[in-house]
Formats: sequence, structure tokens, C-alpha cells
Amino acid sequence: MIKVENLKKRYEDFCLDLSFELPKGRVSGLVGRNGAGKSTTLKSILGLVKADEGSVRIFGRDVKDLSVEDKQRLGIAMSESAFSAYLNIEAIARILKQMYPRFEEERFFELCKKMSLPVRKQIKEFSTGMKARLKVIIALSHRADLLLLDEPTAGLDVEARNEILDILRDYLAENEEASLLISSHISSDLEGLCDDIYLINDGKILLHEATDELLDKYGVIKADEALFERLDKEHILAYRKEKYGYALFTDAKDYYKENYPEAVIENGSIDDLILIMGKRREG
Amino acid sequence: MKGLFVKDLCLNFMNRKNMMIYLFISVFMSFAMDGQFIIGYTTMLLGILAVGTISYDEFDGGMSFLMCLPVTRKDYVREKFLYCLALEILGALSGIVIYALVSLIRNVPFSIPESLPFALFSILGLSLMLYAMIAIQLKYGSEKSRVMMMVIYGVIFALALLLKQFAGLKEAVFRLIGFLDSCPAALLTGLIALFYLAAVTLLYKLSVKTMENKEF
Amino acid sequence: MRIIINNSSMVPIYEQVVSQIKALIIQGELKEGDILPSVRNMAAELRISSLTVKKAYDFLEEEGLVTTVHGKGTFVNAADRQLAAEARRKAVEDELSLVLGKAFSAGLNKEEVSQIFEILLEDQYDQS
Repeated sequence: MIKVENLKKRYEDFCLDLSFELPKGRVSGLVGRNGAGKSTTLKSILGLVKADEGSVRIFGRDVKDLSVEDKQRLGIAMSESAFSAYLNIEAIARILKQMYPRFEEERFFELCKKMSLPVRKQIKEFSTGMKARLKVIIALSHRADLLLLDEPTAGLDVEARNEILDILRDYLAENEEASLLISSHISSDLEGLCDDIYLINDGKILLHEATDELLDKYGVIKADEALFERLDKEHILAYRKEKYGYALFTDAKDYYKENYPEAVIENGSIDDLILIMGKRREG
Repeated sequence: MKGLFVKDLCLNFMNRKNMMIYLFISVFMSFAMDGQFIIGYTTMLLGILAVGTISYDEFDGGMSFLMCLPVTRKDYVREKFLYCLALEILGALSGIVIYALVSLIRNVPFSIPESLPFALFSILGLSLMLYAMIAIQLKYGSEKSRVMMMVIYGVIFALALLLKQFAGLKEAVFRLIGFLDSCPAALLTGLIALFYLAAVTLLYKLSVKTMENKEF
Repeated sequence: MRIIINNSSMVPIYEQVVSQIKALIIQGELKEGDILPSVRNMAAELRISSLTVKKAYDFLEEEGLVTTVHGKGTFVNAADRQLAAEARRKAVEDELSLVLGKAFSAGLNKEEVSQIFEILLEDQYDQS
């Protein structure tokens, strides 16, 4: 569905440089702190910013040559951009109907009702949560084969976030072939959704792993100074100084459980990963 | 492209309050102005409204999302040019209606067929100005383009003043006008059409190029 | 279908899915020919990734408990006789160990328990 090869984009203080592939039916997550390059990655994939080097292909076609028909197969939610806030939902439905042959009007309004979005009110009067829900509903309104969602849960509380993730899960269950690329800086959102996860930091992919491998094999060891000294660092990906000693991120927690039964070892969440791996440069 | 058209219509006309204000101003102006001038006024009013949709599109970073929708960047420019023309025609027509109604109320003679050439020239002349506005706005964004337009008007005004100052120049212009006047009507129409088409094509090409090079 | 995922467990999630579906088959709640929810549906329901569900289904298929027909879905196979026998035996073992636990906490010693057991055993098996 998406193939990114040696994509490079240079800015004054930042450089994006990555390659990856999203096969059909895959649900992949991009995680990383704010400013890590998630949005720029998605914008390059969509051709909104032009790559300095490398290529981006969607549906096997260079993104520069994407046809209107190709674009009709995309469902998109941007983090800082949407339909003009001067429109209301009724107007948006009218526009979508003209844009997408597969637009499902009834379902669209049904979802709006379910998410308690008023259809006649101007979007600019919506709350952050309402706007976020609307963005996702729009992206899912026309049976898209490929969804690209940039931070669809940003700025929302847990309940609203779960609501959005549930809409997404339902869509994926109904459209078994659909692929999804989703970014978030709150990665626990992605653990229960994505097949694999890319950790992006400073414009580069720091780690790519299947979610269940991440959850099964990765872990955080909490060690005091003494344990830290004698710990075999072979399977340690990164560590960080803490008040009690060190937090170490490993991709082989079973190994440490067997060999250091006294150590405190927790299941690693992707958020730990961001915290520990993302800060590696600073030591 | 139809989708964009619907979007712009919604942006311009969804708000009833605004519509009432436009109508009120138009009627008010038609009492203030004599004769057919109201047609030029309404044409310009709706044309400017049409160009204004670009500001709505750009508001709050909205352009990125628009460019993700199933439209090409060329489609976007083409739609703006056509939409602008469509609204001008609508403006001219409503101007004619207002002109007729107001004339009836004031009990002064009027002729709709006689107002048609003026309407046509309003549409064509103003469309050139509006297309230039589109090209400038796409290139420089709504903030900067407002300043640009001011500068351009200033330059035109200055030129007009210069014209007044130099008798020689003035004479040359008069001679040109005289020449055009003496031209056969067919030739003159041809010249104007040619000039119009060349200008529109140039502005369109410039706008497309700006859009295609833009990052969002 | 009742499957409960424990996210903080050290048992990998796909193993949790496997063992619970196995249990449902053994208990007879899932019968031969029953269709399992699609991978994406199951994933949505459990709020886990579909790759994890797929891994679990693949594992069950390798063990011969289910069959995936491409484009149709994943079906439960005829419960293996040996598997069923094993399960029943396990159930008996579990109950026996419960009883033994009671005996232990009641302060009975090995011989006493053995005696009771012999008597009951004879009663049961000679009658039938």
C-alpha cells in the first residue's frame, strides 16, 4: 500500500531520513514525542511536502502522480488541518458526496449522531473532542482502502481517546482488507490496535517491532547501582538514570528474569520506550 | 472539482445573515448610484466574495487537508477561476434585477437589453482583476496579498496622475483611444478577446505553477 | 465468546487467547463446525492487535484444533478424542487434589486418607 524508500527531507534544524513499507491489511503505528517527525513523515507520504531525496509510492504509484481515483481510496485525518471551521456537518456531507463515489451518507450521519455531533452547528463552535471525532468519522466515511491518521487522539482525555479507537477498530473489523497508518505520541493508544510499531526520534526510525513481540519480550528492569554494575548489558537497548538507580529497557526480559531473579522487571510499554530510548542522546 | 464548487457555495452562502447584509448594501447602493452602475457593483461584490473563499481555505492550515482530498492542485485553481466567473455572472444578473426594480420604484425609464453590454464588460473587466487577485493570493497568502493589492492600486493611481501631468502622454492615450474607436467593430472585439484570453491564460498558468510548487 | 485478556500478565497475549479458546473447545462451548470471529473482529473485541489474534489462530491450527478456510473463516474441528479424554482426566485430578487439600488441613495422615480412598474406591467400582 505504501512504500517509502530513503526518504530525505532537510529543514534547518531537523532532517527526516527513513524507509519503510506498509503491506496490504497491515495496521502500523508511528510513535515518538512531539517534533520527532511523525507529521512530516505523513505529510511527505501524502505529497504535501516534497522529498529532497528518495521516493514515496502509494498503491504502487509515485505520490506525485497520484490520480483522483487513487485519492478517493484514501481516508485522511491531519493533526492540524481539517475542513474549514466555517462549515457545518451538513455542508461537509454534501461536499464528501461529490468527492467520494463510495461515500456512505446514512452511516456518516448515524456515526455523527452516535458521537453526539450537532449537524447544523458550525465546526468552529465544536470542542476539541468533537472536532477530533469528526475528523475520524470523515476519514472513515467512504470505505477507504488506506487510512492515514495523524494524531487522531491528541489533546483528548482517556474516554474520548478510547471512543475514537473503538470507531477505528470497528472500521477495521468491517473492512478486513483495509490498511492503516496512525501516529500518536501517546503510544498506549496504539498497543491495542497496531500490528507493528515504528518508534521515530529525530527524524529517524529508532525501532521497528511487532506489537506482540514488544509486549512479550521487551521490558523495563529497575536496578540499583550495584545491580546495574554487574548486569549483563548485552540485551539492553537503552537506559536512563533514575532516583533509585537505573531504568533499563531490554528486548529479552526472560533472559534477565532467569539470570537475575532478584531484579524488578516490568512489562515494557511503548511509552517507556519513548521515554527511555527517545532520551538516549542526552545520556 | 464539483466537490470544491459545493464547498465554496456553502462557504459563501450558508450564512443567511451575511446574505441579507449583501442584499441590503446592494439595494442601498442602487438608490445612491444612478443607472446601470449597480450592475458593476454587484458583479464586483460577488466576485470578491468568490476570491475570499481562498482565505477560508487557508484559515487554520486548512489547505493541507484540502490537498489530501481527491482533487489535484490544478483542479483547485481551475475551480477557483470558474467559481469566480460563475459568481460574477450571478452578481451581474442580480444587479440587472435590482437595477430594473429600483428604476420601477423610482419611476425612471430603463432598458434591460441596453444594460447587457455593460454587464458583460463588468464581468470580463472585473474577472481580470479578480484573477490577478487569485494569483497574488495563492502566491503570497491572504495577509501579504492584501498589502500587494494596495500597492498595485497605488501604482495604477500614480500612473493615472502621471498621465494627467504629461500632456504628451495624454495625447498619445487619446490617439490610441481614437484609433481603437475608428477600428471596425469586429477587429476591436477580436483584439479585446485576444487580450483577455492571453491575460487569463497567463494568470491561470501562474496560479497553477504556484500551487504545484507549494508545500503544505 | 468469553475471552479475557490480562494485559499486565507475563503470559504473552497470544498464549492467553490460545489457552482460552482451547478451554472453550474442551468445555464444549465451541463445537465442531463453529466459526471463530474474524481476525479483525476478535482483535476489535479484545482490543489487541490483529497480528496477535492471527498468531493465536495459526497456533491453534497447527495443533489441529481449528481449520482456516481462506476467504471463509476459521472453523473449529471435531474435538480430538484424546484431547477430550485428557481434559476429563485433568478435571478428575483437579477435584481429587481439592479433596486431598481438605484432608490435609483436617489433619488426616497419609494412611488414613489412603484407607478412606480404598473403601470408597471398592464401593464405587464393585457396585457398577
